[in-house]
Amino acid sequence: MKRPILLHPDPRLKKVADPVSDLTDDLRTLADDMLATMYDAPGIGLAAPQVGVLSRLIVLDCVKEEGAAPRPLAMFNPEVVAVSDEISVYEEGCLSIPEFYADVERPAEVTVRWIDPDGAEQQETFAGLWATCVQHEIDHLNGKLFIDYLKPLRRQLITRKMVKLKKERAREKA
Amino acid sequence: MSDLRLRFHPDPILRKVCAPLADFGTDLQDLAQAMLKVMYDAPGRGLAGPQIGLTQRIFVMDATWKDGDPAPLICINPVVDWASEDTVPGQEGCLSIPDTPCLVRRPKAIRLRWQDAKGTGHEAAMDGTTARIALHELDHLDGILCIDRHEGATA
Repeated sequence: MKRPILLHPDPRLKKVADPVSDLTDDLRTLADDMLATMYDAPGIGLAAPQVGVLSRLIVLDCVKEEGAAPRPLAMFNPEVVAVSDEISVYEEGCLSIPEFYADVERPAEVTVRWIDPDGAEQQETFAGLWATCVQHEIDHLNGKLFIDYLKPLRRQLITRKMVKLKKERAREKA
Repeated sequence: MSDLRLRFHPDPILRKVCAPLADFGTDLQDLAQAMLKVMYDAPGRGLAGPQIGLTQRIFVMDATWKDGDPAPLICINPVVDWASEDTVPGQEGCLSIPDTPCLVRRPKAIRLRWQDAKGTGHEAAMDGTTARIALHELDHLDGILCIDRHEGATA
């Protein structure tokens, strides 16, 4: 079931999310809902705070090739355990900040450890778009958005425009 | 995270009539640059908003970069002021419909009016490939694809 995505600025997007201590069916359902929401948007990653749940859960699927098999991943308590010295730049966007894109520098490769929906510990080293996306999503769990990497003036401009967009959307709904 | 991924036919967004863009800011410059990057990477010579999921009247094009002479153009709220009565058939491809060349008859020459990413107005006469690409992209903003105009005649 799709869930509504919170739009920046929203205080819930600035909070540090709580670790998942008990992997309940509710949380597994949340992961499925988040994947459905992400694919529908469409996006390549989504973090639980973006649907208003302050738990350390992210989902992602960065398979881009048309016709290639999807690879949906749900990560509970994801943790970056190693990063490369090499940096890559990618034009990032965020489902909570629609229509804004900006270059963000991040480590080109990251090793991430997480708990999968079956409760098993997983570890994998990601590169390319996967590396960018997993870092972008883990940032969400720490209340950090990609625009926080931009210069303050630019960030304020985007935030002002988002306030306006949210007002417009609220009016449309009314 | 979202990114500017190409949309493929029959994605319904390719059938939407796009809304005029009114709000010009630094983000439009960025968006246009991002669209050009997607277009060059594809590689293509034109890319319209709906092809990256944006239902607003913006397209980018570069008719000559494949010949080693880049001339990027950012067209916002484009309008055809005049089109020649003379039409000419030509082969077209679309990034959203891979491996499907179409034969489309279009005006030989046009006069196009548009705004750039800063909102400044421009006007230019176009012919040949440039006119064809501009008209193909403009069609996208009205939900029209080259397969709709395909003549099916001998190429």
